[in-house]
Amino acid sequence: MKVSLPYVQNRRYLTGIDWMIGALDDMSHRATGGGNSFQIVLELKGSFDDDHFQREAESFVRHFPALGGHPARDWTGAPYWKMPPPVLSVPLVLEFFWIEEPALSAALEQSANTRFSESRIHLAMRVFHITETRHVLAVQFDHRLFDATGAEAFLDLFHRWLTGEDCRTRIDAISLKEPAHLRDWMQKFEAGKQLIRMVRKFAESKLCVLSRPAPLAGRRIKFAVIEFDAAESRAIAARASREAGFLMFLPYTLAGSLEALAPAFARHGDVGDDFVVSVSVDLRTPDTAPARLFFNHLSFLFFQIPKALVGDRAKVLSLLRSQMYEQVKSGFPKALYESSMLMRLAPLPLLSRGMLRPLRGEFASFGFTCVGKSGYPFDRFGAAELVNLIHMPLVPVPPGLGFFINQFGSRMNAVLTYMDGMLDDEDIREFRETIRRLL
Amino acid sequence: MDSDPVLRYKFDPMSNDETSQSGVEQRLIREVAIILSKDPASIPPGASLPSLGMDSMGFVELLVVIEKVFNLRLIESGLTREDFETIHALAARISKGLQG
Repeated sequence: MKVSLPYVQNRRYLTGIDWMIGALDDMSHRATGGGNSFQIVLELKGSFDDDHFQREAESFVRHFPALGGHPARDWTGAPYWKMPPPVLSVPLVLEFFWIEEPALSAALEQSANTRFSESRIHLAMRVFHITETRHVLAVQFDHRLFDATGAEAFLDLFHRWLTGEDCRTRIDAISLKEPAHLRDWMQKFEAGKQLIRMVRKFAESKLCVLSRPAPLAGRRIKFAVIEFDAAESRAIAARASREAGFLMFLPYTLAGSLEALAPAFARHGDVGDDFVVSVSVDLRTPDTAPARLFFNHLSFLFFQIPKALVGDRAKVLSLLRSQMYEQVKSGFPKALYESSMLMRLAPLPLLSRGMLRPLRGEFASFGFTCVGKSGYPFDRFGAAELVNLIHMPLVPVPPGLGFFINQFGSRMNAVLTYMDGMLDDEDIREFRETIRRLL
Repeated sequence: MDSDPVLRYKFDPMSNDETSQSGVEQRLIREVAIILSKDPASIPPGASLPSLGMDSMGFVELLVVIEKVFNLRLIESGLTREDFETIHALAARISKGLQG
């Protein structure tokens, strides 16, 4: 039996950032056939019961009608996520495989690149058994519905569910309320002016970009995962504090990734003058993430570093610190957040085609995300020991190149994500070697 | 959304009783509580900022607040662990700056 939800409960208005993430999904789909999703990989040790997992996963997701939703517009034109009435099942991909260890990376790459088969499927869980006591769970999230921190909070809740904890209070605390953002238009236009000033500044510079191979259609996103053990991770944190300053982990790792990627740009004949890096920043705090785990609570910072400076670590660090400070001080993340509300007027296909036009089709040399300390606080997932938790995001095309850092427990993981054909084996080998040395 | 720390752009100016080290400390506790969405009472002045959940972005937000409230620009001050690790140490650093 279908039960109609009250008008206000079957919709969650989308923010401008949600709409932009949707546009990136559309842009990537048109470019390569892929989408804008990301995968979190959990390395597990111990026993794993497929039947129990399937039963509990299906029962757990039933509490979240948002997982079966899709974008729509109301009579004012404001976009929202339309949620279906509570039904017995919510669309979820659940697959189980037995696999040999050497085939694991390719399987994870394939899993991350799999496009959701229907427009109302936004979550996939794939379990890869390697031995009776070694398993890998790859959870693929639709970026339109989750960001990285929200996804970790979702896994946190799922773990509690799997261990039999009563999660009703936590589930009830999840907020899907968002206003339609149809007020304060002057504030949004003022914010838009600030954004346009920034765009003009970037448009004047000649951006360093890696050429993308042709044809783009059907090309996969590939991943180079670099894991650091606890001792290496401690040493990186200490060097970051010493060289970049206390709590300047983000500028430090960004400087390292920039320096490690620069040779690949040079090798592929890049003729730009400046690296521009888009950095996503979380607008939540660790304490508020569990209640705001759905949708995107992000904004962005942009860093512009002259190519000639790369290699001079002290100067690059100083520039990154100062640009980060000035953007926060000028309220740029807020301006982007506010002004992006105006973009919701445009249909996704139009926005995805037009939003990069002022920047001649390119907005960054690469994307960078530093999730920081994981919001997933446990060393177990269900009944199994959780050895590591790694993010594998599909980078949107353009730019088709991204660097992602997360810290799980005492370990740090770095993932270079790139479109197939943009970097070759030599680039990846050199990057792996250099990033270890530089961080 | 104005409750999101990074989206905040209005700050109360420094009051007269916030010029002493303990006054600075109390103000910093309030600001850190806003940035981390915590109850001020749950923030001991001796706790290290990372242990409270502060990251690079939150820390830069705090430095911006310090400039706007105390008129001290600390981003280029070396950012040593000794001066910035705890609210207590940071308050001492700011008090020194206000006197200098």
